[in-house]
Amino acid sequence: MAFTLAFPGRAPVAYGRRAVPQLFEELQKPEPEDKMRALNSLCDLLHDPEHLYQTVRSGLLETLNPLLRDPDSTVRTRTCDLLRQVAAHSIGCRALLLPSLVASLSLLLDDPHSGCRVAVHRILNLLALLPSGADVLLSLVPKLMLRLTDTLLETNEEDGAEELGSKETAQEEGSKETTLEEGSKEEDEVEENDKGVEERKGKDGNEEIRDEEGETEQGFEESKEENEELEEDENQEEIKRDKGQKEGEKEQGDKQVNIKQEQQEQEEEEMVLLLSTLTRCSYLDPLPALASDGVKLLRDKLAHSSAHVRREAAAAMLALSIPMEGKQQLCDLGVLSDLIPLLQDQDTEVRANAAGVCAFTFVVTTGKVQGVELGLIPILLDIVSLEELSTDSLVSVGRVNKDLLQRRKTLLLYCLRALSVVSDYPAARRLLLEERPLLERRTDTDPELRQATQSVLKAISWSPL
Amino acid sequence: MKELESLVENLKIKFNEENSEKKKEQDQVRKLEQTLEKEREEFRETIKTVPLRTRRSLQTAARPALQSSISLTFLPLRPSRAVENRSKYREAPPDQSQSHYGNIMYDRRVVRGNTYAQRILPTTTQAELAEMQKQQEQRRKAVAQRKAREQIRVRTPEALQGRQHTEVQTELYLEELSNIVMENDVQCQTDAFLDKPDTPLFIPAKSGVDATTQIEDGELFDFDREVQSVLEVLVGKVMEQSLLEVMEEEELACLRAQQRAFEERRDVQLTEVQKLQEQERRHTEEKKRRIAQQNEVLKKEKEIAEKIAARAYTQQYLANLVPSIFTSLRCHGFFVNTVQTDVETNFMPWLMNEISSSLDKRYDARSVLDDIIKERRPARERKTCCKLSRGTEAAKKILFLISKD
Repeated sequence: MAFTLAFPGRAPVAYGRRAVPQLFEELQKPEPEDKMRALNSLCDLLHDPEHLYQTVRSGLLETLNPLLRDPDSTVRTRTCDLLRQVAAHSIGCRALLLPSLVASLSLLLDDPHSGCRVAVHRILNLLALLPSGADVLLSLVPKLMLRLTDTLLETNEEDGAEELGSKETAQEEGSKETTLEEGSKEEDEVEENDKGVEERKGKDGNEEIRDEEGETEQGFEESKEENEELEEDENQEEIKRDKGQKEGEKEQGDKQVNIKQEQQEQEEEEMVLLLSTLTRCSYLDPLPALASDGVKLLRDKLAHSSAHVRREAAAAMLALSIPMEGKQQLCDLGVLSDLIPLLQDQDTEVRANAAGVCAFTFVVTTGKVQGVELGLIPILLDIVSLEELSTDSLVSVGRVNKDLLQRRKTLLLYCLRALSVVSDYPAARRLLLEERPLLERRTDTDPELRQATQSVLKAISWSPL
Repeated sequence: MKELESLVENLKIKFNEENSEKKKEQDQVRKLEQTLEKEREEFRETIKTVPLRTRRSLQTAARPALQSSISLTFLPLRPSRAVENRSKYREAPPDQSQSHYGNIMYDRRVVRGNTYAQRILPTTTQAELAEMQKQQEQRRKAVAQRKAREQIRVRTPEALQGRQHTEVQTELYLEELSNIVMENDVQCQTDAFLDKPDTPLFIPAKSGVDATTQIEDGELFDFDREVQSVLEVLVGKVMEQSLLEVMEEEELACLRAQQRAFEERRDVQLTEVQKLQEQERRHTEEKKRRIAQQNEVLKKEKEIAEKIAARAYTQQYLANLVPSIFTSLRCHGFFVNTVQTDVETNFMPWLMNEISSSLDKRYDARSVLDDIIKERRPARERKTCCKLSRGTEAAKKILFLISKD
């Protein structure tokens, strides 16, 4: 009784060795509430590696298979959370690579409940970090690409629905437009979503580290400011609404907005996870993704409203641009023109990934030609010159700024590499020769950056004679 | 006394009458019972001899051929037909042409009522006939035995003359013996059901001696002091666990960051590698193209040299060709100057012929002249002939002139 009072919604846990098997036995009960309680307790237990080993060694993960097909969506979601706990461990990860479980998970990708889908994507993301996991997931890549198209359609519909939305939402968006720098409605909602995503990350300790790092940028600071402004605006809005309109309507509007926001957040998270999984799989073997029109689908995502999605899409595009066929496709589809806005994006990671794609695409002659025609070289030079000043200025201690430095360094490296690659093309070389003093002026402390600069200079000053 | 005796006698007579009536009744009853017993015994005996299945079928009147112990369906042996009405009394049988069908419910032959106390006619077959006879003999034997037993049985001797036996009760108190039982109908009805009232709580009677005790604050333990250690442990464990988890996460984050950094470096290096690869590829392709070009050039030059050599050779070879051709053609008579040929073929022979003829003429003329000369001046003239012959030239001239004329 004390247990149920202390931990509501949890099944009682047996002592020692019997804990996990007994909870698994309880999972066989037909009642969904019993299952939920048992799952909650298991989620707590499986943080402990000892229990995890026990679970894996006794092969109890197989029994979770029917739960993944349970008619109740909360049960499914919780089972996915549980599997995610298991996947966070290397032994669990390897145990999860059973074909039956992978098949059930792939079935869940089409689940109508979006929370369940997000959970499945988390699992797949963790699986993809392991090379053998990525190997298994390669077979799922076509299906994931299909999911990409599906979510693309859904987001389009949602955007359309929101544009037709209620007065309150329009007013909200209108006020944001006036105060914030970015103009599009979607960007504003996305900033809210980013804030929401951050909040959720704060609560859930086991979130993707990448998402955390993604926010630790110049863009992070800017978005924080924007979010503060948003909060103020929201308060003002609410005050106005209290004065002007009935409370009931406002509450309904808030609810609708909240629901839509939640849905959007979930969709966005799903997209981000999906794209990162695809990226990792494509690093291992890009051919399946390329075969299923990966380039075209990713190109549509490059212009997404959310910075996370853009970053992940650019990363996936980078992975796809490594093989020769990928480069060819990129050049054929003219993706470089889509990268121009990304190179001027706020988020450093987005820029870094975009620069990476450029660097890889420039390896091919058509890429070089397109690069020069589209005027990518001045953009890259701008980045190089801008970043120069700030690299040395940030010398403060802390992991956050170490990541910042790392991001900047990556961006610079990619840009310099892109320039060195493109300078095989005589027209590009001519352009760059004019800007040579700029590059010579660079004083980097990092040996890699120095080496990169040297290689650029060498490439520029190469002549056939 | 006599009256008493007469009364007694009357009573006796009455009693006797009653007794006789009773006896008769009893005899009848006994007879009926005996017949019943007989029939029952017969039936039992017949039934015992017959196997189980047929017993049941006899009991249920099923067809003997289709006997299943479970099914009780009745299947007629012959196709069913309506039952004819049979009159109570016998009539002349062939009288009836039309058959009257009557209501089967009012047919005398139909058995009505319960069947468990009826005579049941067993089905007779050849085998059973023998059995039947045996049974009948047994029955007769039994009857005979019974009769014998009855005869042996000692009964009260008959009354002497003028006396009657009466049955008298000899107990202290007389009882009225009758078959009629005094009956009394008594009814009782319970009230409508009421709800059962709650059973009162059973509180056993107090027994024993009461004793109390009370623990005051601070007697057992000091909560704050005791709880401190427990709290420390709890909080410490929680903190430790959370620290471990956070450290784990930090470690994982570091690992991931390192992994990412490595991967990014690798990607950057990969660009370099690919750039160099591409460069190499381009260079090799360029080289290949140039070599191919050069080969082409060489090939062309070689071809040209060969052409020149061939041309020179052919020229040289064919230098004589044309004259030889012409000569051969001319030999074969292809280049014919018609006039010339004509002249050659026609004119010249003619000319020659003419010349030869003219010469012949001249020769003839000369010879004629010689002959003439010979004839006219044979001796001297021979010399002169010789001279003449020497002077043939002049003669020729003369002749020629002659001929010319």
